[in-house]
Amino acid sequence: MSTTPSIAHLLGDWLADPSFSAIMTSARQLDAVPPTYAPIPEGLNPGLLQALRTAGIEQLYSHQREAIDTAVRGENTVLVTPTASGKSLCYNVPVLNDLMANPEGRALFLYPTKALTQDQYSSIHALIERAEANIRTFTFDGDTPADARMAVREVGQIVLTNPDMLHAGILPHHTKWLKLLRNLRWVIVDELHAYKGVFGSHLANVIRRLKRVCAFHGSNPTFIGASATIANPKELATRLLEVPVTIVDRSGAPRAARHMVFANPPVVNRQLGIRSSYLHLTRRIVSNLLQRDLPTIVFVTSRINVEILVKYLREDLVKRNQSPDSIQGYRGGYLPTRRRRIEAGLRNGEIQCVVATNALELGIDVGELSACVIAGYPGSIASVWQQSGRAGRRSGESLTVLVGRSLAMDQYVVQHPDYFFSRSPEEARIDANNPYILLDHLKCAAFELPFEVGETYGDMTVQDTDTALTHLASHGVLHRAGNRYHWMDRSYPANHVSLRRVEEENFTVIDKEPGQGRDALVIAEVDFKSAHTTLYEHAIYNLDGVQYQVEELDYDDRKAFVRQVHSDYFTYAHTKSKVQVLVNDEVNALAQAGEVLVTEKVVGFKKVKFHTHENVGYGEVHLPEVQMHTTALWVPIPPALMETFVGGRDRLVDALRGIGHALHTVACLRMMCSHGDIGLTIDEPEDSGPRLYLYDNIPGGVGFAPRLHSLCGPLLAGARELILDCPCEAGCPSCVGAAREQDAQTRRLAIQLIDDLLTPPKPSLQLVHPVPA
Amino acid sequence: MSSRLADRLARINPTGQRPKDDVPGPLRAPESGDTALNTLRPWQMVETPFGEARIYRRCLGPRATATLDNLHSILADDRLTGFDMKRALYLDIEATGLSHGAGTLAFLIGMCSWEDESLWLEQIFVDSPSCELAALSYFRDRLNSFPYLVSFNGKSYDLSVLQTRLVLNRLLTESESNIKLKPHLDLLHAARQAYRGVFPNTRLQTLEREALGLDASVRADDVPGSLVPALYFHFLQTGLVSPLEGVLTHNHTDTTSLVDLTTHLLTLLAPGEDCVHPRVLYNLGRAALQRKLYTRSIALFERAQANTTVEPAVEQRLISLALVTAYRRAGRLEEAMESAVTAMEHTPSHDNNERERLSRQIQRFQNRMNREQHS
Repeated sequence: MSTTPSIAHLLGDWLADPSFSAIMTSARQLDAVPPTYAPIPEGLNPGLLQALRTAGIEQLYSHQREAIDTAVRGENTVLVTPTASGKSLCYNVPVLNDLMANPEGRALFLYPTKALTQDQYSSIHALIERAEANIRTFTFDGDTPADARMAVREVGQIVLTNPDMLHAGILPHHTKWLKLLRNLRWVIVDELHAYKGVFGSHLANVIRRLKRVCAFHGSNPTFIGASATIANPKELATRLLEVPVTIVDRSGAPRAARHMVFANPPVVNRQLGIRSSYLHLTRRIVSNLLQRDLPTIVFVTSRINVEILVKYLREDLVKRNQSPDSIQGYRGGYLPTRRRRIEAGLRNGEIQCVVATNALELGIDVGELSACVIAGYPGSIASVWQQSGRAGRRSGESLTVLVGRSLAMDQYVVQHPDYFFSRSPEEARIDANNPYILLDHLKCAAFELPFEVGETYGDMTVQDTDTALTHLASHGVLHRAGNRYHWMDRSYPANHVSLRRVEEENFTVIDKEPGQGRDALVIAEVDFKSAHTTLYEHAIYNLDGVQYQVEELDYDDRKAFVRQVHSDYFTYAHTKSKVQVLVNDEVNALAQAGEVLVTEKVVGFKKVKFHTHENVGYGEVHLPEVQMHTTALWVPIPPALMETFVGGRDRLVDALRGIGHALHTVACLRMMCSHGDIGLTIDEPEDSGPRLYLYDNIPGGVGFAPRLHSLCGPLLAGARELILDCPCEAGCPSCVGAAREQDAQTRRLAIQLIDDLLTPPKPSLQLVHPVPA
Repeated sequence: MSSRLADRLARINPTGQRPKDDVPGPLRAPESGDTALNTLRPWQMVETPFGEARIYRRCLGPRATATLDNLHSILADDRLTGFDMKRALYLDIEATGLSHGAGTLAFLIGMCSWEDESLWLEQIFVDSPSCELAALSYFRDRLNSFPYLVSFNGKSYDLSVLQTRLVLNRLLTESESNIKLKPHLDLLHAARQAYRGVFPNTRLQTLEREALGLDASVRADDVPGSLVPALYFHFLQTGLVSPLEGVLTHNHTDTTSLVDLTTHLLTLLAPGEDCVHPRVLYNLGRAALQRKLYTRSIALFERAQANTTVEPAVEQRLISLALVTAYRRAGRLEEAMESAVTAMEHTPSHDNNERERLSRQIQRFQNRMNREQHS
């Protein structure tokens, strides 16, 4: 079945319909790219060769050949090619070829999710069967039954698992995995680009522990990584694996044609720069696609939006007398069984449309989807490509629609398509030595093997390693006896360390009256930080299109008790934050950087009506503050400027808020992170001038702030350009933030302040300021 | 950089996630001599290839034993063929945690064994993690000098912890790395088989009380197992030894209870012994049935049936149904049919489904017996 005619037809219809063409800012067709082939290398095991032929593979894509050659030479290899370019083959071939010759040898495959592990198991298993090789291959994850685990440990030659299981299930029990760890020849890390930020910083430490344990058991495996296209694959791979790597990044894979449409909700109030709701526009687009029977995946940026959109789309289906069940949400808080059911429904076609957060972004093959609608720029170019790659993996031509929100980042991207199409995708940043993450893993490492005095951990010096171990010993977690630090605590440290977040326990959401006389039921989990903005008392919590109201929040036990309600509004939390500088490390002419303590407090919430999105009420929230040590950069206002700035201190604070808004946008674009990864606060202490802070929104930081500090001049210049180019009048959410008053001149003042900061004013020039047209 | 790291680390308390009851706090003020382990026991320092091991040995005198020839078939474990209580090592450890991950250290290894007619207790104490290698080396040699091992839940805990630490200390070669393959009578499994549903649970202290009739005074000052790791950490940090007294006694009691429980269970499992508890007989019959020991299971069920006046009674119906299965599998169709009829008699009249099922079964037995007669 080809979807080509209907997509071409659809685009024609859209362009002909003024209400659709008006919202399309760009429609490009990415042409098909022909493949580049290379012969299968000589000297492969004949069985494997036969297996490839049986699978219809007579020759390889050029990058596959290159990757196989480097891996077979024993080099640590990292493959960086687009989605669906046959990456798995690049590691499956060298590993199988080696294990067929060395049956004692072992290989460990790591995938970021369980679902992906299952998919990859099927494909490698098929290859092994075709090769008629007797290579015992197992998945090992939380679902592996206890009696099967023994078999995996004893006879598994290839073990497919995820970092979490390696961290909590294998490494702490390494003495039971002797066969694997003594003979480990290969470690495969697929979807390398998924390991950025906190997750990546954790994985780097898990790899450090793996290498430590391998060294104890006498093995020294070769690493093969595979990554979607990112800007700094070599840097990321080197930081994650801490070994020299050879990068293979010239893809020989063909690409099917893909249509990329950028859509922007129409401006409804030009003066304030307000656009109509992007969710409404998304709903319109998706409904249109579903009417044409095009299976569609929709990506949204937050859990609450999954629920809102599912509710809207189901309403549309019901209006057309169709079953609402063919639309499903899919997000992190769902319990695993529900997620598996949805994945199966997508594959067998019972589900026509799924609304997902980026949990589905990684390369799980969910079936033949024709269209992908991305509601809100996901924060990086790589993510857009990755999400877009979810559609049309096999079916050829496909459509991707990116719908911009009113957020500045989104507006910048949908209005500057050239920026998107010309720029290389994101940089992935990790900091394996983030002190919180580091300490957690040092504990796990000490549990696994005592530390020798003088030992180094990862890339740390002997002195730093010893400093950290001494710190743990001083808290009674380690005990130094002779020349060794021993684990000396009754806990099992890996159980307290989740690789997917930095610390603090999740909240469980409990339905007090699930109906049908059943007892209270756990319906979801929410991470610690999100709980503050979604589970305060009286909040409306949305799950699968059903609304619940939070009746009681047991903060200490991390439980929220909810009851199902029929509400015509949803709730949004208001947060206030404060920053305290702890250490000032770096100073340049414009800004300073160092360590800070950020204190956040949810102070209230507003009730927003469904559909009209009008405010229908406010409420107070009484929750403890959340404190976070992290790294930040800040822009102080020179005292001279405070005295001379036109309009005085109030105007100056307005201007600084405006700059903050734009600077935050430019910083996130430059770092290619989502706007939640970098925090922004304008602090105006009584006793000194106002300050603008940008900070890593992760305890301990992952390296944004120092990098931003070194880029401060260009960033301010970029912010100025963004403000200047905005089509609004006085300021809008896309540039300096929503105007506070009708006559606000935030845009003009912000540009004036940037100019003052970039060019320290001479007294005679002070009164002359450029004014935007 | 190092002082910077120290500053950053200083703001993080790495013990934040420990359970609150974990830190015992100062137990009591140090007394003179309180830091000398010799005030607790007359230890011997025994030379090993890896340094000295701290050992306490004490003769406990004669003690009752029992024998059971077919233990291996009752428990379906051929490695227990020829099991002899007097050639077994009884093992119970105290460790720094309940997980058997690599970081859990067995700091006290309690062992009982026979020399001639006397039972001996032996405890290996690990003064500090740096003494562990010598202690484990001594333990390994002791373990290797007995053909059988007895423990309570040792298959999943004690032996797991010890094996892990032996591997960590490179005291096991690959070929012998699985000490779990050693002939091993895990009393927890045997006790569960007999006592399921009889006592509130099958923990060691419950069995001591309910099955062995151990005097409560023996455990009067017992240290709760959950406190044991904290007491050892406290000793490591402060050097104070007196809190360890409770740990040594606790381990002593646990280890000797293993011997008494073995005697008790061997007697209970032996056929022909006059156990009158119908639930135990029924449990044992079920276990025998599972192991295809039909004669044994029929004998046990019949004795259970004869004893149902004793509380708590197992329903006649349940036993009759079990007998139907046992007779049928043993090929004794006529008796199977009789038991089915008995079961029918004990089935409440309103339970129509069950009555129908039974009458169909009786019919099938009848048909089969007819066929066999004709042929």
